[in-house]
Amino acid sequence: MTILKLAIRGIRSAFGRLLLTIIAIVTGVGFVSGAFILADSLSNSFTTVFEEGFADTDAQVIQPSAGFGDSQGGPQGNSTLPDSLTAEIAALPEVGRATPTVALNDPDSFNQMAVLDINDEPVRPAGPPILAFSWDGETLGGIDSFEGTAPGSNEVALSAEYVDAINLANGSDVAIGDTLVITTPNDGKVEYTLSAIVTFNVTIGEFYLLVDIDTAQQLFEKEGKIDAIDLAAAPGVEVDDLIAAVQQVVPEGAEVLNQADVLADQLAAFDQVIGIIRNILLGFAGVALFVSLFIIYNTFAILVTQRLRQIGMLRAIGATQSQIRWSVVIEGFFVGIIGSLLGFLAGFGFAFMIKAAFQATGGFPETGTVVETRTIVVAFGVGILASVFSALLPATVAARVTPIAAMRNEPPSQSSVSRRAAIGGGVFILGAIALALGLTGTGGEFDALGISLSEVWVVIIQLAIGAILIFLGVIMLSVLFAGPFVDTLGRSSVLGAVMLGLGVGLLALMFSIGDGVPQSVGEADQAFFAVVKWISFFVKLFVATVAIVVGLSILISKARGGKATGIGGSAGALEGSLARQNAARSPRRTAATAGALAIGIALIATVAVMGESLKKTFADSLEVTLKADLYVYNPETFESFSADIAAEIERIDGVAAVSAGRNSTVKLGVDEEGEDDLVGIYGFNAATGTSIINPSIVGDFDGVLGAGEVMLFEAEAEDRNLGVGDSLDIAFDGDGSSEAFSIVALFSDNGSVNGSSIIVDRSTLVTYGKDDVDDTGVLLQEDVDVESVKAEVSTVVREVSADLAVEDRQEFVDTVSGQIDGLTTLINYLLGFTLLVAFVGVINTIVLSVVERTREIGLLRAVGTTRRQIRSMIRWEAVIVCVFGSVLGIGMGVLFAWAGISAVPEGFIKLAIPYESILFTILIAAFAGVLAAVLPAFFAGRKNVLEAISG
Amino acid sequence: MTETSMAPPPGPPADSSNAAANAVAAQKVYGSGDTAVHALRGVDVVFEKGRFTSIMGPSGSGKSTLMQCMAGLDRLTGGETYVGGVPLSTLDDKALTQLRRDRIGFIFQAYNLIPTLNAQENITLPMDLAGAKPDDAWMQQVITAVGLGDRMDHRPNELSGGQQQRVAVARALASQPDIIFGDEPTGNLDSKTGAEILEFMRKAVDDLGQTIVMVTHDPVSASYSDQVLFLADGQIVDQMMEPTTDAVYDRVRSMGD
Repeated sequence: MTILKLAIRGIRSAFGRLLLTIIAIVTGVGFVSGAFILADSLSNSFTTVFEEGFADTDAQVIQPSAGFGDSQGGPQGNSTLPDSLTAEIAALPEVGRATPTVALNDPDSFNQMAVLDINDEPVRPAGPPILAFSWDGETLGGIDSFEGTAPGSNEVALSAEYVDAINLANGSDVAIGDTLVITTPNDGKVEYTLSAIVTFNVTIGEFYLLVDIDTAQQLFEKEGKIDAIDLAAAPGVEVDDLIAAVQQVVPEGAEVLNQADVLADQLAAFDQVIGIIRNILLGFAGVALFVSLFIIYNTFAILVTQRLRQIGMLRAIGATQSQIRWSVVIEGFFVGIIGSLLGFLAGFGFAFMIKAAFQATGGFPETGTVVETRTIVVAFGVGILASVFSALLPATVAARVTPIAAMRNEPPSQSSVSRRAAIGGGVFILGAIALALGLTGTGGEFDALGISLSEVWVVIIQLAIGAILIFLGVIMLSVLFAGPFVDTLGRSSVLGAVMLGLGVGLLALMFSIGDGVPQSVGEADQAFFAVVKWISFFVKLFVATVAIVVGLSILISKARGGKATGIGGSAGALEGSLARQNAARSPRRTAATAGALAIGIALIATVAVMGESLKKTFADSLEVTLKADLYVYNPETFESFSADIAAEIERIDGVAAVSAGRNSTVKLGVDEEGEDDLVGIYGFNAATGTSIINPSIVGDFDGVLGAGEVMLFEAEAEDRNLGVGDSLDIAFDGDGSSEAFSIVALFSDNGSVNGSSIIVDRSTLVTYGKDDVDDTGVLLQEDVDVESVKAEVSTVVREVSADLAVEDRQEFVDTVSGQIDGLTTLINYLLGFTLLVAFVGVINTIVLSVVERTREIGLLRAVGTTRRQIRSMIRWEAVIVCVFGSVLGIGMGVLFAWAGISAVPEGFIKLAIPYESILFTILIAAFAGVLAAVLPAFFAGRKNVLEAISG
Repeated sequence: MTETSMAPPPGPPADSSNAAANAVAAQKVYGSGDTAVHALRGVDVVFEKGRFTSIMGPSGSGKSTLMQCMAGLDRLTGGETYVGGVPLSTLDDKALTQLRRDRIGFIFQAYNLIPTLNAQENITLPMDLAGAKPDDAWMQQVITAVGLGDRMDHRPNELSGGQQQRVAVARALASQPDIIFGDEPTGNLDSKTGAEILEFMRKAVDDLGQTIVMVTHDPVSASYSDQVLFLADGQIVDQMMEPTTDAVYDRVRSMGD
């Protein structure tokens, strides 16, 4: 009880100091609870929507797909059923109603149909998908009411929300009876009359485009076929009896599902997506918690040092070691509880706001925010565990405090620096081994303890464990070089030179190999990105300039001061030297503080290096492999389009040749685990040979493929022990049949063929029903005006589809680079949170170290150090620690990125290092140090001299 | 130069049955080899029950080390110390902690009160740590003696230095220990407040029958005790019964402190 009382009173008295520590936990727990609450709430909403949708359906007939994914299709849903089945089933006495449905039902085909606005642009608001279904005007679950009549031939019905979106785009209202232009997946643009506006009970923001079943079959190329039959039992018939009766008449392989199964089936896909969102957020939560471990550890370590006397006294008057240990652990426990509670509230607020944003924008159903018991347990569990775990080591140190400490003021014995470094070395080596295992792929599959993991997961886990161990190892080892590093960097001549060098380097990179001054961007939807680019340009310019000015002024004042080294050389030398010695004096603390920062920076550097490498690899590869002058594709959805476009383009004056390409997935048999052995295949226009697409063919081969001939990716050939002249059995459909092809050549660069392993003539894919194309490369004749031909090609293309883009090579490279940039930026924003936590940690450590050094600061003040000098001392210390952390982080980031890239099979990606971002990051870390020191420096400067000394 | 200064150091007492604590051939060496520092070179001493003893000596004479080892705060490198007949070297950390908690009281130079506990809570802290219930009658006596009156629920930072040290003395008395050790208990106080504390300690011996051993360098403080031991170079070189300020002062000066 006494220990509890002491712990609680301790927290209360040190609350200000623990506040920053609590923030560290809040962030991690906030991410955890936010992730769960958001995912559970979304899942709950989806369930509600689907329950509404299937309220009138007792059972459903579907034909599960026997095939495998198409690269265009992702997880293929179901195969189709024959049209005639509906009548057969409807004839059964148990059946009250049998409604056939046809839909664009594979998730990747969402958005393929869209209404065009008055500017001929498809109305496709960002976010919610546009779903296209057949509708007979009577059933289709979830419809509350509609005005108008059910769509017939050449008619369409739209959901009310979609009509609103169209009205918004047009600036005027459409009405029933108006003619709408609609872009379709297979028939180009069509003109339909709006026959009805439909109101659904509940939507989650999705839009509906409804046509009659004949139109649907034609539009979706499912003539004579249907996707599913919704059934309702005849009055008085039990659902089980209905299912049993229908089962008698359905074809082999078809399934009759009850309502619950239908719901589960429909929800599975959405739950998968929700699960991904949740896991990403949980990943960030993990990182934030990992960072907070360092901060909590640091705080408690410092608190223990501050309480040496008190702990010694408690030991002297009879507190046992375990009582002391418990008092620290209990303090950690309470900090964990407070942090978890606040974090949970923050997470709840976060999830609530995101949900509110969804509701505001997309008619998200007003279902409650779901807080499962599991969410609370996990949120508090991880918060408290992290806090208690981090307090364990300081608690042990506290327990080792001797009773005599009450009379002296000596620090407790800690494990020596060399022992810590030795442990760090061991951990580092373990990490390196794990990384090496992952990279060489010697782990194989894992199947023990009731867990079985595929090889890919084993590799990922090995890499992750390796990275974490290497990280911990480096942090522990950094105790060794924290001293020398800080000592060297802290010398004003070195610091000045480094700042100057970084500033000049950043400027040089910005204007030489970097983006330079951003080009003005005309299009309105790119204005935002242009603004972002300009802002980042000016921030970099500012940072570089400040670094140069600071570096120069340090060097100049140094030169004026005369003396080369030592205290008192120049005006700033004293505080600089003291700061350096302070940071170097406790390498353990410097290392732990820098470590918290290093995690965030390491992750950001990893993402940056990987992004840069991807971009570089892609650009280099295209340089060699894509010979096309113009490239036609769908940048929004990468959807396929009609091959007729290619033929039309070929007729344009100035066009020399056209290669239409199509991606797909094929099966090369079954692997050892019985899983389908699937690879990507690319069909191109073999007649043009390598003049447009050149995948770096090995040896002499002109790329002209005949029937029954394939080219195989070199690395894939090595893996499978295949070579030129060998035969390859390829299955294009899930029906089990396969065709033998002969390998006529190998190619070494699969960048321009979307990473496919096999290249065939496109006619082969057409044989198997894949007659549309994904991209079209256009080679122009020499001496033609590229811009004018491009304009003509655009006209032809826009005629058919509003979604296709015509880009020259540079534009294409920019588009893809932009997408990679977008992804890395998004990840970095989330990781930025981690940096914020680490930043709080730096402030925390410096505040505490100022408190700890009260007496010393008082002494410095007493002998004539000015407040300004004291503040400057604290500031430099923070800068040095931050720069140390960022250098550690960037070093590890490059290492992790290298490991991640090397783990990608076939050595596809080449390592490229974004030097500009790296210099920028180091300088930003230095600035963050200045910022972090503001508060602590203020406290330190304000200290009363006398109190500080006698304190 | 007094007569006593010429007397040989007292040998081990034949009868230690009346001892609250005693040491036999106590040795303490810090470090080893060339850098070894001999803080105690075989000290024999008996602190009898119900007596107030001062230990004096120049800096580095080993007086603090002797007190710390006898109080079970630190361990000897040779010889043995006893508290109430229990040899301390045989105890592990836990038993030693228990012994300190139940049978030894401490008064520190810097008060060393817990800032987050009030006066009352600070006084009962050792018993609370032991999970024991204080003897009400005794507590009443101690609290009355402290004379804090209605300030018992004040935090240490709301009390004067003298009041804080009185709380610290009360804390040492609270568990009715066999012996109380003080480490320059008046070192941080002005002479008037210091005198007050010493009076209080004197009364604890005379009226409450406590045993107190105090390290001090101040002859005035030493004059409150029944007996003064003089240490030099890790050995007891002299002792003085019923000391007066002047006598102690003379003796200390002769030791060249």
